[in-house]
Amino acid sequence: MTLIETITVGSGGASSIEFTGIPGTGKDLLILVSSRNSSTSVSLEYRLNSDSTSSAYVMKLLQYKNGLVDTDSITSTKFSGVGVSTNYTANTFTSNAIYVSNYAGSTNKSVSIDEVSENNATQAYLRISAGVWNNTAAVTAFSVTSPNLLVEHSSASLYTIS
Amino acid sequence: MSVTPVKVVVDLSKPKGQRESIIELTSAELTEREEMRIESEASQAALDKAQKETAKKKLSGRNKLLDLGLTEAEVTALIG
Repeated sequence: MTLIETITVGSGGASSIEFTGIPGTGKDLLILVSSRNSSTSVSLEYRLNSDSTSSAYVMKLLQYKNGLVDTDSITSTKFSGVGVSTNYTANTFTSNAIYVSNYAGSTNKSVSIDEVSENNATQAYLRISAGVWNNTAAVTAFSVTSPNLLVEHSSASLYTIS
Repeated sequence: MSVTPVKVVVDLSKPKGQRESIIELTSAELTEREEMRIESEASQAALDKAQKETAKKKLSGRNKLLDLGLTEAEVTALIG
């Protein structure tokens, strides 16, 4: 596993972190995100190659949310992720791991996502997701986006797996 | 005066130290973020409503069991 880059958001926050020019030197890709939203939203979005095509992202998820366990199946213009909102305990952040298999290959890309939000209350998320990006292009870009801003000290690290 | 939100773009094809750019969002990106925010808030509101209804039903069910003569301990053992 090779760390390619870690980026930490500076003061003032940022709407998204985008990795571009991802080298095709690995087999799989792992992105680790630690983030907090500047709004009451508990959402994040992930995109590959800036693709916002309708139905490009299909995912099935199992999650604990706010005291309940449920499942969901989503077809969308992005993968949905778990965020920490301003309603959550101060200075808590998410822990999100996005794994993209065979990212430089020429088939649709399998993606698994494992994530939790931290909150010292009932309202919190634990989620595992399995998905596919319906695109055969090699993955050269990845973005994580907040509905508002990712606050200062949010970070994203990108690794390649040989 | 409002400040235009930015995104952090990291071009990994460049050498370390020259990769990071801070770029203001375009109007199209701002529109998309606003849609994302509205969608997220609607989803959260639906979740809150569903949870309130579940809690209400749970309380109603608990009270009915108590009315049938079960003790608090027995109801808790059954439904938590």
